[in-house]
Amino acid sequence: MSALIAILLPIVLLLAVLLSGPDVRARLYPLLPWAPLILLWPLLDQPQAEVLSLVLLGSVLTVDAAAQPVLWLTLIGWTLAGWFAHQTVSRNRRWFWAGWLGALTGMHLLLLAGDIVSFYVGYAVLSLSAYLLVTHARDAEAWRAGRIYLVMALIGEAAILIGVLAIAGQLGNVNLAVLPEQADLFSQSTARWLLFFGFAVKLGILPLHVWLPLAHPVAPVPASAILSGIIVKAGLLGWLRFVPASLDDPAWIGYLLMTLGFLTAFGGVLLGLTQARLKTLLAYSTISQMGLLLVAFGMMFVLPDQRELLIAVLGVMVLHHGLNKAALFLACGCAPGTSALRLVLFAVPAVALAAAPLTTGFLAKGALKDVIDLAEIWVGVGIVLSVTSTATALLLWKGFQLARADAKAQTRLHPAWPILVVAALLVPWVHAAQVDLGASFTLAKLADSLWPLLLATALLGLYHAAFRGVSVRLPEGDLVVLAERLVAVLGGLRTSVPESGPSQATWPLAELPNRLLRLEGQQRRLAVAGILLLSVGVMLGLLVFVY
Amino acid sequence: MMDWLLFWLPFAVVMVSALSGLVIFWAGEGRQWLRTALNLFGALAKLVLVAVMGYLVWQGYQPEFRFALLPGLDFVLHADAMSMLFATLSAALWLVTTVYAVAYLERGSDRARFFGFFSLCVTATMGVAMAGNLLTFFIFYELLTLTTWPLVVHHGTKAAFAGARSYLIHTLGAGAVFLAGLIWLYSLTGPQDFIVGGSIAGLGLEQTVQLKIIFAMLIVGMGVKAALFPLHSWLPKAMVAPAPVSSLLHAVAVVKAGAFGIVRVIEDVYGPQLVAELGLALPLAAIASFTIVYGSVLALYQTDIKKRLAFSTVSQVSYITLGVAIGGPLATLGGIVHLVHQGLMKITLFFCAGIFANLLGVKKIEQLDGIGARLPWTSLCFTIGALGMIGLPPVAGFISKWYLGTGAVAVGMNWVLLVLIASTLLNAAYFLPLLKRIWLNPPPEQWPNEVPASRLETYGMIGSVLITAGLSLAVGVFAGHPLSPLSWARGIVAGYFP
Repeated sequence: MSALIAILLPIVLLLAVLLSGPDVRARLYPLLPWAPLILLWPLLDQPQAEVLSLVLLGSVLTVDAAAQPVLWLTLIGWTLAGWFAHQTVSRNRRWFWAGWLGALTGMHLLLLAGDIVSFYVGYAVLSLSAYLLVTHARDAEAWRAGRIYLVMALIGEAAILIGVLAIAGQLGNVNLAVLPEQADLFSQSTARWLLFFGFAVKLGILPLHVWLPLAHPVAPVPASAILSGIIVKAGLLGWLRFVPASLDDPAWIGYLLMTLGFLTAFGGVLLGLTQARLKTLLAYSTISQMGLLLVAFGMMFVLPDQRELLIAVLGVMVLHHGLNKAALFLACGCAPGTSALRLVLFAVPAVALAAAPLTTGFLAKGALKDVIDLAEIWVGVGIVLSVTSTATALLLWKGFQLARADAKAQTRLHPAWPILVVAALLVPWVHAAQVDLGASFTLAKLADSLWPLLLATALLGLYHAAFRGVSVRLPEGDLVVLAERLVAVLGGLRTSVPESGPSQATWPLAELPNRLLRLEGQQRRLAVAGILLLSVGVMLGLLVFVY
Repeated sequence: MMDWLLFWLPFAVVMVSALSGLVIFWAGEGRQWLRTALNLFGALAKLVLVAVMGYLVWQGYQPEFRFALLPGLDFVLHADAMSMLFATLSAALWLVTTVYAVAYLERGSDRARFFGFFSLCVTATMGVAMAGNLLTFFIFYELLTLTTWPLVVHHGTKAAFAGARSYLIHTLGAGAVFLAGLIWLYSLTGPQDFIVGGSIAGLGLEQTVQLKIIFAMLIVGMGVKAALFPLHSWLPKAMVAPAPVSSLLHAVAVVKAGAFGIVRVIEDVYGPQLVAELGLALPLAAIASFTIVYGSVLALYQTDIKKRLAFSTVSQVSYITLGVAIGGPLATLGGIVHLVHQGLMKITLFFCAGIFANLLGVKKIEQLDGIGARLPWTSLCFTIGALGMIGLPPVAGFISKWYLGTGAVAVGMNWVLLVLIASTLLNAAYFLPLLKRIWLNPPPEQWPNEVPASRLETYGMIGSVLITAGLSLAVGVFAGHPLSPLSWARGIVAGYFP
């Protein structure tokens, strides 16, 4: 019951927003931010399996260990961002809240889903609704970001659908809890890789990340907060559900994933350092941090029997990144350069993301490092992991500079922001305690988290001494700009035939629509001729038989 | 008493609308209220009779109307689970289409002629649904062609005549091929009724080459109506018809009759095992797959709303053919249930296109900007239909795709997944931009041809489309319900794959 209500509430609110008149809507808006609080009920109730056999293909709702941290993240982050949104979003409110609630519906459904179809439905609804958030500004930049986002999201959905159908073809619409046990069936299969890359699109793993730096900045501030902080984690949940590690898997898969994760982690930072807008920089930071999540996920293939431990570690990482990143995005909407207090409120999550000692980042990275030590692979992995902290520190230092420059006068310090900062400070620790992932405050560990930051300081000093004034600028979205140019050169796929006038394209591909339509016109004669020929032939055949 | 009922009920179901049609012709152009009342009464009566028949079938009875046309050649109207599926779909959508058509043609002319043939068309469709053997099927199949021609040509323009001529040439030619195949088959097997699992399967025939050729002929005969490539080109041209006719053709009567015929041939004449043995499944699946992609690619280049929907139909109806061609319980389930799902979604889309054209003169895609603000309910229904076509859950289209995909994997035809994905992406490519235009673009200063509409017109049309859109959503969300089309189709398929 609790899970069902948690899913129905945002749907009801969504319908109310879409279908009601302006007066009712105006009274509704103050209530909408608080919708995610309904998640408290299933979180306390912890339903094992709410079976709704009449819905979809037999829907099952549940709360399990993998979804739990993301549920808490949604409850806290989405509510606070919604509160912020209510008081800052004033244009096109109906469509904003429609997208907001649609995304929330999808998120609730996929978090509480216990069977394949319910998860897929939630994921699809989430991806589509996010389009409304991305394109909220309705200017050219927003349309472009929305278009690229949608194309990538649909490609991801297509890959996921193939994988899901391949699984369901063998197992039917099974409970998601069954899939890790059946991991052997899909070990080394194309379907599993398709599922991996399909969900990787949402997480922004290189090179599928190109939509993220365009979509997250162009959305309104609270929408960026949930996009970067919470929605991307849906991809992780997809990985955990559909790409389980089996004991038959060779270890190289894990190493490959970890390499990809590190590449994403450093690549995200390098690309982010070339950016001039704070929100874009933060988007690249998200990409980088998702790379770290991939490293942790890759560890599941190196240590297939430590699934519960890694889920706990991932949970802490998710809460740590989600809350801190959401806080950073809310900061963008509050003119952080205006006062010292605001700069401090910006700095606290930034420092935490850089995994300074005693912060939640220290907790999260420390937990991951412990697992890596457990695996006893090459000692360099731990060092590389520490260097990612350096990279993050450098990136967020630049972010801090950009924040200092943002001193728009008369911007209110919305209370949701400091509350979120405080939550980001505390909640990961609480969760870690709950899953028995304590941090050990030994001197060695503290030193281990300090030296990357010292390295970062050293590198900064070097930069200021030797390379001051040198700056590289890359366009936002990097690779996607190349892709767009390529598409333009090839003539592209025209979605309408020019009514009149000579065809100007010189590439055969651009001629394709005209050719196809001309062929269609001749079809009639071909088909008619064909049928007549066939009937005549048959008549003759029959005559032959009869006589 | 029961025997009498079981004998005459199928006949009554088919003939109710013929009767109302003839009375409408007799009543003439003048008596509008009588005509409307007759229409609605006929549609309601038919629905009630179908419901009664459905109940009897569910209870295990076998209503059958049979008389001998010639010694050994029977005219059979038979109600089994499969025919009930199609009959119920037709009867229910007919009622909704009647309401819609009455509202749509409020300002139209020659309405007696329209509704007369409209009713006769229903008769033919019911006959197709209830036919108990290929001969009866053929009779009503040709009747369907003849009764829909006047509907296609209703506006009387040059384009209408051209479209209708193309339609006639295709379907009559196909009918000739079908008849030839039918005669040939009967010469081999003797007159056979439709039997679950295939009537000729048990005969142990040796003439496999002949059976293959006959199969091809029967499929060609029905493939024209079912819009298989390359026999599909009449469909976009028939868009000159008024919207209720397009909805009729593309959701209920003609196109589904063709698809239904293919299902009958594969399941009840040849039987799934024989089709697989003769190696006919793969070529048919390949043609259906090609049609799916081809229709979607061509839909991308259309600028007229109805033409885009027409090519989308070409693509979607082949899902049904693909499902039964792949074989196996899951894929067949997907194909059969898509009969219902596609019908509901497509009729919604065509109704909306008709409302856009009728109330605002919007016929082209670029004229759709901002229509969501002006006609929100219609646009909402269009959105539901479009999302269903793309296969986004929880609208009905996803359920069909699910079973087609998992069914293909279950029999080892993994390449079908690529076809389904390509179709999904293409559908998204030509429907999502429409949705964006409708909801997020600013509306024009003036609509192309805005006409003040009476209350009947608006409520009649919008009410009908809300019903079909609601059903499209409901059968998807509640697919697990025992009364959903999915559960029904499951019951049907269980008979073929025990």
